[in-house]
This record gives sequence, structure tokens and C-alpha cells, in this order.
Amino acid sequence: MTIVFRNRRLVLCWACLIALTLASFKSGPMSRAADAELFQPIFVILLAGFKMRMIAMEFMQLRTAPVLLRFMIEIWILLLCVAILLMLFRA
Amino acid sequence: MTLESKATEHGLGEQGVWVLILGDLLIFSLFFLSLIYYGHLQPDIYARGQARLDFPLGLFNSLVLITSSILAALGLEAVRSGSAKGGGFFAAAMLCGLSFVAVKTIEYAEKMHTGVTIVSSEFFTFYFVFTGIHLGHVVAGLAALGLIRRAAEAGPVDAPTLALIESGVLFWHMVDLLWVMLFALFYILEWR
Repeated sequence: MTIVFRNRRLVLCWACLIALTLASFKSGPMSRAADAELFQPIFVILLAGFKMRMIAMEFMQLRTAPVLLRFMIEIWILLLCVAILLMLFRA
Repeated sequence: MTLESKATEHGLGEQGVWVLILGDLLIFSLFFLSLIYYGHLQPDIYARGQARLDFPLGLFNSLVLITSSILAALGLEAVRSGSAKGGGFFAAAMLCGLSFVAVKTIEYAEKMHTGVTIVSSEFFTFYFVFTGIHLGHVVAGLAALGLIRRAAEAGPVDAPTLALIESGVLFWHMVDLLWVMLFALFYILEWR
């Protein structure tokens, strides 16, 4: 029962990741709608960070891992996204 | 019969694989930040370079790698539950990984055919080096998947073998995780 539930959760996570990746068309170079200068980089980096967190939590099973390990990976993703955005928007 | 991992005190897999993963994540962080730093200095060069990349191929590779990740995760669940399907899932994940390698090779060949090389511009130096190092990780991950597939198909899996299978699967997920940011920075982010 637990296995079935976990597999459903994995498939749901995969479907979300596929949908979010396809959504990158909306902000990618093939889109004509991507003219919002300020928000495009924020959207792209936050979307990538969210996808990375999903992979870490669900596929790498950090959701059930020791707190320290989970904390390290989550902080790494957060710091990476913040650092990238700060560097992109520096004067 | 279900088999539970004994490696709960340090997450999935062997402790050593986490050291490898955390080290890799830190090194790739430096790659990402150096790309952003230099891209911000000369955004025009980076925008021109990005315009020469094949976005649909990059998107295809992203979808393929995400799909291979779930196949590896389902393979691990199958092995844990004692099902014989684990090897099949790992084989399918390998097929996706091989597709990624094939498409990346086509992309590299197409670039070189049109005169774009590692020294064409700063953007392409970063592109070939970073995606090349990532491709090396994909090849290593494929070798790991091949090994764990054999282990899964060899019969009943004991706890040490399960930890090895978990380690291989973890490494494969890390390869997927790193590609997510590489795809965002090289293919999607607008340089200005």
C-alpha cells in the first residue's frame, strides 16, 4: 500500500516537472511574450530552483532524510538562486 | 516481501555518495556563478551565443532526463518491494540517458559543423566546458545504472546491495538536478 502511494506521488512529481519544463517555452527564446525585462530572470531562476527542490525532496527522498542533510540541500538551492539573482541584478 | 534500507541515518544510499553529491553541487555552484558573473559583463555576446543554441533539443533533453529520473526512482521502489520489474525500469532509464547523450552529441556536432567551437566566444567556452563536464557525469551515471540493473536482475537483493542501488540512483538524480539549472542558464535566461 505504501509502495503504491509512494509511486503515485513520484508520478505526480514527474508530471509537475514535465509541465514546469514545458512552461519554460513561455519564457524561453522561442516565446514572443517574454518581454517582461524584470520578471523573466526571476521567473526562470525561481522555476529552476523549485524544480531542483522537487527532484531533491521526492526523487532523492530528502523529505524523509535526516534534518541536517535535508537542510543542507535546501539551503544550497536557496542560496544558489539568491546569489544568481543578486549577481544578475547588481548595478 | 519488502526490503527496507538500513541507511536511514544519512538518507538514501551509502554515506560516501552524499559526500560526492555535495562536493559536485558545490563545484557546479561555482560554474553557475562564474557564468552569471561573466555573462553580466558582456550580455550581448551571451545573447548572441544563446541565439545559436537549439532550444527544442535542450528542451527535449530536459524532458528525457526528468523521465529517466522517475524511471530510476520507480526501479528502486520495485527493488525494495521485491518485484522483478526493477531491472526493466533501470534499463528504460538507461535508454533515456543514452538518448540524452545522443542528442547532446548531435548538438555538439551541429555547432562544430557551423564553425562554432569552444574558442568561438566566451559563451561557447562556458557552454562546451560546463555541458561537457555534465555529459561526463551522465556517462558515469549510465555506467552506474548498468551496474545496478545487473544487481537488480541478479535475484534477491540484500541490504548492502540495496544501499549500492540507492547510491547509483541518487547519483542519477543529481545529474538530473544539475541539468535543470544548466538548461535554465544556457537556454532560457535572457541575457541583457
